[in-house]
Amino acid sequence: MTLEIHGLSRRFGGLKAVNDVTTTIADKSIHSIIGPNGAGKTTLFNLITGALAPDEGKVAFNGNDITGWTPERLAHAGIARTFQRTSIFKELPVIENVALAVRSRRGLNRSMFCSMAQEKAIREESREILARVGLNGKENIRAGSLAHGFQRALDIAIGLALEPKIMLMDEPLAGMSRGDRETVATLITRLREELGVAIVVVEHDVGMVMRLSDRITVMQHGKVIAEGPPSVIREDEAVKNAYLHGNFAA
Amino acid sequence: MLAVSLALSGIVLGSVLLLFSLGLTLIYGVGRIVNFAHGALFSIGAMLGVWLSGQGLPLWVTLILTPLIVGLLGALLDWAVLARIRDRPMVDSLLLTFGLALFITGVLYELGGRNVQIMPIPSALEGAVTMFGLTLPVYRVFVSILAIVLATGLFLFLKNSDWGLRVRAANDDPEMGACLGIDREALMHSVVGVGAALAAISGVAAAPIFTAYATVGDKILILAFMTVILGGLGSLRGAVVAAYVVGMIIVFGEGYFGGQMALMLLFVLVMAMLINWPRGFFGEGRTE
Amino acid sequence: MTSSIAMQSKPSSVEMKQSRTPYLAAFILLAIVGATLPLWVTGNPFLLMLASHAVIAAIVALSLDLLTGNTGLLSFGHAAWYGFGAYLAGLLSKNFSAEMVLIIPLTIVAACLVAAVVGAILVRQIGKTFAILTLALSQIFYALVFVLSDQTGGEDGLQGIPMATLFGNTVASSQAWYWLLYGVLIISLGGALYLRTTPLGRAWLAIRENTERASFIGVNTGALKLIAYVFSAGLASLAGALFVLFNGAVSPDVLHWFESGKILMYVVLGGVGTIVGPVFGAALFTFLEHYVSSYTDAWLIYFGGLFVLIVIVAPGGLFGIGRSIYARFKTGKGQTT
Repeated sequence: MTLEIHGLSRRFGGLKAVNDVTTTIADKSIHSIIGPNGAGKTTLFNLITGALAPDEGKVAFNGNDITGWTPERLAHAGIARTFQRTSIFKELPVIENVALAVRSRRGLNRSMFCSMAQEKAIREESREILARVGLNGKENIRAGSLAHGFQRALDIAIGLALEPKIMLMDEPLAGMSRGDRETVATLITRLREELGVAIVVVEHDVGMVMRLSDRITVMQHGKVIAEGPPSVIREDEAVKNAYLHGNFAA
Repeated sequence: MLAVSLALSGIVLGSVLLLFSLGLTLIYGVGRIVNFAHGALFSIGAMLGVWLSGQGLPLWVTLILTPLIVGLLGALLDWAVLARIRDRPMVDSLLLTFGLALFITGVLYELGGRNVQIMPIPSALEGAVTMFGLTLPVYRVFVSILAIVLATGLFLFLKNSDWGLRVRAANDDPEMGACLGIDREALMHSVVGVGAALAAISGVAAAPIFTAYATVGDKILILAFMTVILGGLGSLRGAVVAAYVVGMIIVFGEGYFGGQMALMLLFVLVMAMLINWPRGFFGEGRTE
Repeated sequence: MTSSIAMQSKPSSVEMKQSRTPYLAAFILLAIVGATLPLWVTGNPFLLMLASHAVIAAIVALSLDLLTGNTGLLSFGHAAWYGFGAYLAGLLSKNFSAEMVLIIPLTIVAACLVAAVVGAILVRQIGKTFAILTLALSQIFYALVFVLSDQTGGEDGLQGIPMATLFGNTVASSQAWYWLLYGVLIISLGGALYLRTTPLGRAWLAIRENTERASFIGVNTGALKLIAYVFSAGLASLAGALFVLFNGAVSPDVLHWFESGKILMYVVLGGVGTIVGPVFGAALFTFLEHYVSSYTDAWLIYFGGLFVLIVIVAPGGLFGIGRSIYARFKTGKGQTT
């Protein structure tokens, strides 16, 4: 499994928000995209996940061109995402949040019949996924009444239920307490180790990124200014400059 | 000759629609409310105008008093009713204005709105002028000019006044508006007031042409809805162009195919437009 | 594999029990009262007729809640499909056959086909644009009645519809009609409640809750909304068809926006998305309308006023009020020491 990004560009008015970005996300890796505010990270993220269409360039997944695919098509192809502002089904019970994704993966969205046995299997699977992110025992709580950190974990669980090969996370640590950050970071590492999911993280928390990532892409003004393992990035002159001049929110 | 006289009628209808749709667009832009009661406000304007002129007031007084009264009523409605659901989901605002439309129509029925009322044209504006070999009814020319002058005035006011600045800021982004220290409540009262006044003046100015009754605003509301979709929801300049486009389509459609066919033609056009250009003529409408 | 990580946040104590008791109680009450109605109003044929109209209203209300309650799409012109069904079934029975088994399915199929075409464009619109277009659609259907006034009778309405037959037997007695309508209501209600439990119904709720997230878990939101729209239009047209055959005539009023407002009122009054609520709402409203309008001409004022009041004070409708009273009652009992 690889996700290849070739010469991706997107303009907003005169501004090139993403300018000729090329990179490859390797199988089972944790790949972070960092950069100062306005570097184009979120735009890049939206281009990959189908929320925005690129002006130029293409995205390929396992050799298939997936540029411009709709979110639902990407989901079925094994590309899941989480949201910066936690996005869950607030009025539904926690377990139903995950069960929805499980059913969707099994191609049941338009089904008007579901046997008791099948529904039971779906709930069982959902329970396992919830346990994996630490939400066991909270299955029947209204999702919106979960604490903030748990909601983030649920967001990840919904993504996991799709059995993705790659999971893109938009600032998974944003707006969380120090303790919760630590927990989510551990969760991310474990998902890669236990499930072999490749994870792409767009993040502000540079310290955490350095610890977590196998590979880091640094962006500034829409362009890639450096790429490599954390040890290399730490020593990179261009990145240091971006730190000094830029407004890295650490 | 038919085409030319239809074109004039198109401009008249377009001008009335313009005033009406600008109010609808302003209320939408600032409050994110689609005002289903806007047609009822038009009807109030028309019926109030007939009543006032029946009391012997000259046309110009009626044209000032009616929007003033209905404008205050609009601000009052916003303060008393719409403000109750400010932070609720969008659906509630749609339902609420829809309920208001039913309520106002019911009240107008009781005030004599079941029957068609005629508003006489003052003698000064009666008759027709002949220009370039064309016979133009004076009152229709007057209505068009009035609408264009008022619309221009509104645009200038939006562009240059303090109020206009706040309206535009809130229109662009309600949250940013809040950051600029705008008192959203007061602004919203005034915007609904202005919107209601615009609906009322279009109603009273058109009353000698369309007559007045409780549901006279219904058809205008549907046409205005088509207008704001064609122009793009929340786009003021889109509404200007679309108002005249809709006016022309309706008038020519009525002239050549009959009244109901014209409406259907317009609807098909709007649907076709939405497939390719969901954001209206200038591509700046909101889709939400 | 099953190791878990404890989050350092406060545990939430709000248990979400999917309490089915109030639903079930309401459902059973409705079923019993409704089914036995003809037995205790034998001396009052008018009341039975009013009840029949209430049942038809309940079917339309259910059809709208199928769309709004499931997907969150709010239709301000649902009378379009009700009126479509009424006029088409009326025309079919005048010109083709009075056999319900033939004309009702034909009407439903036709409504579904037209709804699929119109809906394909409509459901792509979000929220407000959808609301505006649905209102416009009903006005277009209204206009169509006048364009085709040679067939539809225009302002005078469609008159002289022959007595309907069911498998060749004329349905004439008001009891028979009532039970027929009531049977259709119960089957539709059962169907709607069943759909809630299916993967399709649950995916609909996901769309209502959070459309963006739903599409990112692989739900084809456009297609699912369209399915809901077509189902909804089909059921509304069924109600319309039943209405015209029962009533023997139909006027353009069934397509007026007041009628759409009424249908919306049934749903809002009962509680959007509760399925059972709108059915009660429709029944209650039909009786209310009849008795209030026999006292006063100004019915529309009360109707509009009630509409506004409910949206402001009780957005959950009667069902919402009932549920919160039930919840308070339950917790109240638990706390008494």
